[in-house]
Amino acid sequence: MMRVVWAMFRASWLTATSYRLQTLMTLVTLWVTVVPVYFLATALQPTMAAAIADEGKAYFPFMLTGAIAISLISVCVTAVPAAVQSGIGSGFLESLLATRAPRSALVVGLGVYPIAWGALRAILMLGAGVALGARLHVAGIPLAMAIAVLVVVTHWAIGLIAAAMIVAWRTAGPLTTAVVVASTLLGGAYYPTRVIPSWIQQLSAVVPLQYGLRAFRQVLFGGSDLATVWSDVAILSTFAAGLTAIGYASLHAALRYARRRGSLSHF
Amino acid sequence: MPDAAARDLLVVDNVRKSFVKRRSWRQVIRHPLATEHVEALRGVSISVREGEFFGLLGANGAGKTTLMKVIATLMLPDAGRVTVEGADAERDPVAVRGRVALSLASERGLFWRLDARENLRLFAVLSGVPTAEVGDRVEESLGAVGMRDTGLRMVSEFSSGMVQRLLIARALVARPRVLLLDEPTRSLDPITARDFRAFLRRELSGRGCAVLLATHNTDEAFDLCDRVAVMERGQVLATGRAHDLAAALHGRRFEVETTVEGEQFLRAAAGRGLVGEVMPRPDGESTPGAWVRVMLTVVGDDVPASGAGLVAALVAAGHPVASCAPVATSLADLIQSVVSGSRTSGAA
Repeated sequence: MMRVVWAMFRASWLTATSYRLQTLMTLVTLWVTVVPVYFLATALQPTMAAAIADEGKAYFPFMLTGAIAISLISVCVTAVPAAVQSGIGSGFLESLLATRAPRSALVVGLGVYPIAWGALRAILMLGAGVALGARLHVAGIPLAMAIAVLVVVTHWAIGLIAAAMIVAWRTAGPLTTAVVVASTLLGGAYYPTRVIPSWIQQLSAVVPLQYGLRAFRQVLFGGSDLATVWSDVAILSTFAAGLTAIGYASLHAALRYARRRGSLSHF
Repeated sequence: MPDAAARDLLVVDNVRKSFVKRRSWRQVIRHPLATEHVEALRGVSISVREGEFFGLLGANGAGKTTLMKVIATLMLPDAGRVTVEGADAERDPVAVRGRVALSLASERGLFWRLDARENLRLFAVLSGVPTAEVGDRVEESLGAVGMRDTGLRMVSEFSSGMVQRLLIARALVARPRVLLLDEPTRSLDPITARDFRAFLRRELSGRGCAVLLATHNTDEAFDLCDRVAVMERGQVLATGRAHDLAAALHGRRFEVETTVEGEQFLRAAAGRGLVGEVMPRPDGESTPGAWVRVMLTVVGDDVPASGAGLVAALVAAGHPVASCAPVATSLADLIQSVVSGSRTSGAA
């Protein structure tokens, strides 16, 4: 399985880097994102300090991680559906499915490059934040990375459900947009969920990002350990496991449905 | 021609497949739950032996590509069974995918920003080629389609013929037991197409690979394929050697050059079981005593079926003959004859 995933990653990477100027511009864009966040967060620091006391008190790293998280989950939820959609149109999906490679490896392989590239950009943005004065607890990096992986897996799994909908019905409806918008507004990206009205807070309970972001910030910027963030990590892990199972099952069912209808290559 | 004792690698047994027909908005509103189906395959049965080239002939929409997709496990049949070396396509699709490679004419399943080698490298891995063999397999496949010298050129810079060759190389890289080729030489220039057919015959027969190819090309149907099946509207109407089918359906045709006036010649020939037509002269005029060309069709067992036999019979009957050459049957004639014959027998 890893050999297949690596081969697909390599082909996607070579394709992406064949657009040389675009690759360079992507890196330049990171700075263009981080610098305005720095100035805005610095201006809002006095207003937000009390509300984010548990997550390091500094609003710049708080806001930066929110921006990074939204960018990353957008990639995660759209990577596989976008690849599937374009693969159906070009016939590439059929070419992949006609090989003996395991379906699970193909599904991972379809999304692995954009997600890996998104993760690298996230790390570079975080590094830019550190260069601009964000302070992080080095000891918390391994746990923060593990939490980030759970966030990625959770949203990649939502992407599998969206991909299944595309395979079956040629549209994912509002699913991916709804997840990104809900995560932006209710996931604690730019403000902690406890400052929003209580009835909306109840809605945010079903937004996985809020658990991941809260734990990530507490660990990386607040110096908390696993014991402190355990409940958030447990809920996020449950989301990751449950959504992955649902995502795989739905994609498997959708592929069978499309094979039965003969619509794998009909867009 | 495969050994008569060769075993069947691919067996398609009474396969049926229908698709849901797209309805207009008006129909959907008036009958929201109703569905209409179009039958794409109606009880198709064929078998292809080791080392055999089997052609699928038929007009567009006859069901050739659908049949290939069912065999490649990309579609599930509504009924019937497909087995490849004994592995059932529905119950054990992974085993079947490991033995079958598909190359569709209209397909664009490549990484366009990568070169040919990188594309083949990827598909070699996806096809389970051992790591140590990937490089050799890639070179072998590229060599087979004459593309070793494409260097670092991206696929997006290839001509349509080169893309077609690369798709075929991609199918070959897995060294499949059953190769499904949909119009494999459609975009190839005549020389490459001829070389490619020679390659297929040379390489794949030796490996015992069964090749199922859908084609609209006369050379492929008559010279490359050991057997063909003529399909129409999802049914196999006839199976056999293309030459035999053509002969059985509308005889063997010869172009004869004679000085006897055409209609008179035909009347005399008709008495010997020969039917024919006078080929019009380019200038539209007929000069007494000049050589004219007459198309003769030989039907039945009691008339000479070879060119030499026909010349001997005509000369013995007192007809001067300057030349007598067999006329190749076109694929369109063959398909049309099979379809018309089927409709006539169906109506009767």
